[in-house]
Amino acid sequence: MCEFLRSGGVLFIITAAAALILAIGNAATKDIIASLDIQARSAAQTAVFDGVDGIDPASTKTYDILSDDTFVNGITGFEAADGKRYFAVEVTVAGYGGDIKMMVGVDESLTVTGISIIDKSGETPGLGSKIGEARFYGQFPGKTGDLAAVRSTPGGNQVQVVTGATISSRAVISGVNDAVLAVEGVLDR
Amino acid sequence: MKCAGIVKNGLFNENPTFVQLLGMCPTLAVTTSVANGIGMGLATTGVLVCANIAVSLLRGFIPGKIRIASYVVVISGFATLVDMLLKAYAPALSKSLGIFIPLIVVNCIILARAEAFASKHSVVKSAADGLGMGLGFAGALTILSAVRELIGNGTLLGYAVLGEGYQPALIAILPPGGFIILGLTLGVINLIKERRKASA
Amino acid sequence: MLKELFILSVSAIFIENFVLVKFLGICPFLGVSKKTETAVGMGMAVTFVMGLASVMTWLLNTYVLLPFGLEYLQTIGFILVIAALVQLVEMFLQKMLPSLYNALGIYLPLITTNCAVLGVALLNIQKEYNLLMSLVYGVTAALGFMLALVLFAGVREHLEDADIPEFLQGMPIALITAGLIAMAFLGFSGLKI
Repeated sequence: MCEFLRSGGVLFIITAAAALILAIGNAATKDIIASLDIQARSAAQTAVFDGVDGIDPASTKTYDILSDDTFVNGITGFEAADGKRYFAVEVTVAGYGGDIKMMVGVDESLTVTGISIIDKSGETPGLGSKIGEARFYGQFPGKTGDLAAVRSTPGGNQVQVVTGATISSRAVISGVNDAVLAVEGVLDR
Repeated sequence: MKCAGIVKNGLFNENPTFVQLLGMCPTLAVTTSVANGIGMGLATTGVLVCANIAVSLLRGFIPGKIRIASYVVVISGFATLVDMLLKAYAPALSKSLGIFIPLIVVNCIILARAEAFASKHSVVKSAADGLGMGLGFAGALTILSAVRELIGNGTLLGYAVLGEGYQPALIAILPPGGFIILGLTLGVINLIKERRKASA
Repeated sequence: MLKELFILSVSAIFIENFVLVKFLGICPFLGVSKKTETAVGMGMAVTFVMGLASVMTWLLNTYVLLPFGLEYLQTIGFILVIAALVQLVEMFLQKMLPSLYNALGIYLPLITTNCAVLGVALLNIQKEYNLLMSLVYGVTAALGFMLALVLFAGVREHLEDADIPEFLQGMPIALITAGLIAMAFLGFSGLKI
């Protein structure tokens, strides 16, 4: 019995010490990690409005997401110098090996201004990871919603998938479609 | 045994990956690119050295019956710490290694060294053993990931070294390629050993 | 709901097979696959532990770690829960099924360091599954592990009689075989569900 108590006590002390060290580590790193997330988000917001002049970064307004059946997790509206409204839509879709996080820029006329892939770490390197290359995501600007995936040369509202990475490509396309739908919902309000 | 000898032992004679065949999950999973391979190798080395030092320091204090449980707690503490540090200071690496960073806890190399070496040797020797084994693991991961990235993507550390005309054999970075290339690498090591024996 | 669970199961067993696609649980995959019988035994033990561990770690995370903001203790907490569970299973088998206990031998305690078990616990949280989905994912992922293990053991039994170049004998040829099985499983990634 005594030995049992001693063993338990020692294990408890070790676990408590480990927990204490981790609490300190957590306190030291948690703010840095949080600020990295914010940085990544604002960098992506800038990237999707690359072709738009005079976006006022201070003019942000966040909108609620009304639909449950959507991949969209956040909508931020911006105002440009010409008075038009632009929306940065944060979307998370299920890719091949994990979630793909991305930002989609949409303007008032529901045209995509640009997309930026924030996290594609679950996609196969050399295959699905190619959704992060301009050859793929550069196809979106100028298109409107209801996009379809094709393997050959894309037409008006079509996007050519990355060869061998149909799942990842389709995921991104459906995310962009949802983003446009979400903005449509905001404009209807 | 001198410390240099202990380090060398981990790097070559008892290389955890190529000789002891331990820690196969990360070996296969993260070696799709050299950057990932080196990152995982160094993260594991960090945990291995710290865990060996801690276990060696505590070796008189931990009762025999709960030693494994205690080692696991110590190791998972360090693994979580490494996880936090990577998230804060190397977010890109942390994202691409993903779940395999917390899974350093169950890398058998670390528990095996705690049980077989650190619980019986002085702090300095244990640290040397951790360093040797860790670098042996990191070296093995680097070699494998270099082969896989070169064949599968035509690049090394992201730089195109095989030229534009090279058509990458994707299979090398897909899961089957991991198994096959590790198998062939072990075969080549066997061949080298046989040659050495024959010439000696 | 049923449809979701079905998709989750098929995906865990075939498309994202833990061993052959996700590289979780490789150590027992290579270690306990010399005979089909032990492979089945190991597979069942792992299935039991993974199902139980999925539920316990989910409960621990939802009712203890999250409310108190202790997410950073996830890894430590989970591994302790798993170690305790494995201890229980070991004691149970020793009393009730001694023959299986002897066959599994040293590999039973090794379930603790089977990264598939901790892996499934962490993935459940990462993918924000609810309790039922966690249980189903844990069990089906383990069934996928068992499937890979049994298939591999079947091939390995035949390998023993094959004429293999000396330098490839043992582990190298086993790994290459695993690679070929993994290649077959790659075909499932084309499944549309």
